[in-house]
Amino acid sequence: MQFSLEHVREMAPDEKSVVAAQKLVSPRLWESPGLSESALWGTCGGGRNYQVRIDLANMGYSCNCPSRKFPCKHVLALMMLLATTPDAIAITESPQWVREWINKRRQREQAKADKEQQPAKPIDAAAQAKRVDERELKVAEGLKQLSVWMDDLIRGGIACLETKPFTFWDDQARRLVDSQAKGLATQIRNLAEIPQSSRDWPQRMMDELGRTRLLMHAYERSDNLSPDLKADVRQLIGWTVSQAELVESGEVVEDDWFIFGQQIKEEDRFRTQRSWAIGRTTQREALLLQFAPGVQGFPESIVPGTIQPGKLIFYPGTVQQRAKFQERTGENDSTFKDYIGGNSVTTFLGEYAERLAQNPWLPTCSCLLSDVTIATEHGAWFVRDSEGNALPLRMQDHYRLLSATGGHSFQLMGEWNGDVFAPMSFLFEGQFQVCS
Amino acid sequence: MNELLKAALVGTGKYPGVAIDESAPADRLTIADDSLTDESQFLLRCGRRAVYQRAGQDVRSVPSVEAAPDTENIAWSAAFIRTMKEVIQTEKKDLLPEVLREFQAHRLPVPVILLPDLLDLSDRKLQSAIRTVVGTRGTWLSQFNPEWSWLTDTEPNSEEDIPSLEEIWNEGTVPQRCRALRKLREIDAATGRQWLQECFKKEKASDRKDLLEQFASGLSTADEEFLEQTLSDRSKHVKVLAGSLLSQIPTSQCANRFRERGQQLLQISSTSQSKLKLTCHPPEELSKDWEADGVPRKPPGQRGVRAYLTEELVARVSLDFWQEHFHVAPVELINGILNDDFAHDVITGWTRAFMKISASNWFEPLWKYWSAMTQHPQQNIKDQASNFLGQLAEFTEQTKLERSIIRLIQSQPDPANLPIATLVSFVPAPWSAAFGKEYLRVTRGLVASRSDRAVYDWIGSLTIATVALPKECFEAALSPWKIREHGVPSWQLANMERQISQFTERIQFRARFHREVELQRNR
Repeated sequence: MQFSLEHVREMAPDEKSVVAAQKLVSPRLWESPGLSESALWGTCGGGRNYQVRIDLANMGYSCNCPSRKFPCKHVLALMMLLATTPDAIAITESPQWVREWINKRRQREQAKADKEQQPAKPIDAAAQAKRVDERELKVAEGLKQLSVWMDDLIRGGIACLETKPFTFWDDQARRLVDSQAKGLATQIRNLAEIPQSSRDWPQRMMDELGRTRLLMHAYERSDNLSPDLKADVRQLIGWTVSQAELVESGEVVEDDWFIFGQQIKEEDRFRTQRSWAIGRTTQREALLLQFAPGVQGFPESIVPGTIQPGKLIFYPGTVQQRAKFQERTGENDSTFKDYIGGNSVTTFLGEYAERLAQNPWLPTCSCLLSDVTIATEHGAWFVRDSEGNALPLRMQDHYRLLSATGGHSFQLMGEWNGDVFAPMSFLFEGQFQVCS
Repeated sequence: MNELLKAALVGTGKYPGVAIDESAPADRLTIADDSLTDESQFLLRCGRRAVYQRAGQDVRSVPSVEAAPDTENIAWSAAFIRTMKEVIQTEKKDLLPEVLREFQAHRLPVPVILLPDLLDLSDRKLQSAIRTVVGTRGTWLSQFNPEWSWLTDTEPNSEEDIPSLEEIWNEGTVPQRCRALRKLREIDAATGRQWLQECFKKEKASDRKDLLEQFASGLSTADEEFLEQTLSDRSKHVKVLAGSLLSQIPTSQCANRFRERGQQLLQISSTSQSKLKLTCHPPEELSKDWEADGVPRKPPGQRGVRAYLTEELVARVSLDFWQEHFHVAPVELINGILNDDFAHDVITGWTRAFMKISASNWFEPLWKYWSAMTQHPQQNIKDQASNFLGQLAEFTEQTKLERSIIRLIQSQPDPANLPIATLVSFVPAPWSAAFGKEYLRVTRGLVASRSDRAVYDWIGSLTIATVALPKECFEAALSPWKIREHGVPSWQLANMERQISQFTERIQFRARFHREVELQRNR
């Protein structure tokens, strides 16, 4: 496992942790740091002697300091030390305190894997069915209430929504959470952001309300849908896919995965990390979702701009996007250029339409465009391909992209939500850069 | 607007039964379900149409932008870009002038990815530095955002620019008009005077004062007539300003009148051992002729009339006059008046006169006097001294100023009593290596030997040193700091440790930046 300062920085919970860690990147502050095939460890001196252990198999870490940040500055500093001064770290056998920790981790992982693959306890089918039935009833009740609320809303007209407070939407969303339809609740909360957000907000509101109603209609008649579309609809409503279901029905794809973009969104009590990846051989897109409560780190280290060989298991659905690493394997010998196809705007929109035909509620998809430039017309900004066709660009990164590329062509990677292209990274003159 | 949207806006209650649009294929898909309400049917229709339109959206064609001229592309490291971003976007912005100076000195263009952040900065001082480092890419980029037009805007500096100044003069806000008038006075003082004369009486009192202040630029004998007229202005502030401006024109009648009054004010009382001794004879009250020449009637606050009139008069007499009148150097004049009751007021007046027309031989004695006043027991005198020292510092070269401060530190029995944070703040960044090293030597000595309140106050100056210490001093700044051990930890000690830690962290950051630039230059 090779570390670079970039990777370590990407793992840090915030910039302050990086700065704090940098102060500890000195061999004299570490007592007997060591490296073995499975672990990296060291004791950070300065009187406290915090014991730091890093599991190289999956980048798990442990430190006995009282910090509430994960990873803490000691873990980051040890990784930085390896990246900057590898000679300061002895390659040796793991000491007992590291071996014990690694063994415990392996045992836990094994136990988890066993649990996932073969149910430890015999499932009480009747009880499970009862629970599912009860939830179905709750969701159905929630959808019924939502349907009445939406009927009232459209009967009164959406013009009055400009004056509605957030609670108008939030109250309804909370009812849906109570009905265990969390996916729909999020969609209703998102509607609150539409009024007055742009000149064409009534059209957007009408479209979103229509799409939501269409989703509810599909759920009510989900028995008539194909299994994949049914899975899509149920996930959008709020049903989750259990690990057992994922292992049973998820498709496993092995490839070298290039992480070309990442977004971290702060929610009420947790953070969501969305990372987009593309496979070198399969050219398949993958959306890797991770969640972390508070300021804790995400379970897995996924660093934008890196290439990770391994197996991804895809969640069931018509347009298989969401995935998670089932296994990470060794090194790779590919470059960024191996991953980015030559999509033009027309080709991309054609593919997007095909995906919508499979899943009409597809929220976003990855979009990799080659040979594009940044263009402007009437104050709006676009990403323009060599044929002159363009997609509207999110008004955030356009100046930075324009400045970096100087109006010359480059390869751009990002996310398309049907209306706006959100850039995530770009490749210009052989240099890969993540959009901030 | 389509019928569906109209109905959605006003509500299906008022706009029921929107007919099927034959041109919209998604409308033709119907859901035969009697259990659905009309509203649900309507929403489903909206949903179908939305999906259909999203899937089949038209490809928009837009014109390309003309690419930027090719520039030398420097592959800055990601770590360096991050360092730069930290400077521009965080509380480290005070390091930006140094960063820009380095780029300028080594003729390096700033990383192109950072240009938008730099062009967004609105600080005028920074903008002039930014102009020199953005290169052709920055100039090209600025055309795309009207807020970045400052980059290519040129300062008016010739007669050809007068029409554009006139436009601002006629249509601008008061601050804009003031700037235009000042600029015009630099280019063509007579036209500037004519513009103001034409509209002077129509302006508000406060605006008249603001506009008249611009006459300090390009002031000459030709302005005397107009300024004499403004001495009878309705506003006392305008009158005071006009009198002050007239006193700065050596050949004006008003300046002459002040000189005559000055002769009566300061007189030689004795000369013992070839040392001059002066006494001050201020009038008991303000006479009408003084008032007519723009001396304000009332002294501010609780100040005595005589002290006040002394200062006002001395401030209006040119410094050359005193030297010529008494045939002595400034230092002798200051020493000559020191024992008089009105000494402080006379020297304050001389300092004010120095600010109007600086005379280099007055700097040293005035600096010395006001440095001594920083130890005065009265806080208002201390504040006045700090204020004047800051103003005096602007009129001298950096090396001379640094020497003066070092001499002052070395001459003190306890340098910790000096308002060092105020004094070093007058020295522009970067300091010279000699000054920086001396500052660090004294600071380290104080920190290692004492931990009282005075040292604690001294440590406050590290915030300024953080930015101003030159790179030659980094090594000295980063060597371990020895703090005097206390038996019991106190908040002062803890705070001192914190300030020193912040100081070293900042210096490390700066050192990292300089290393990166050096690496880049050697590539």
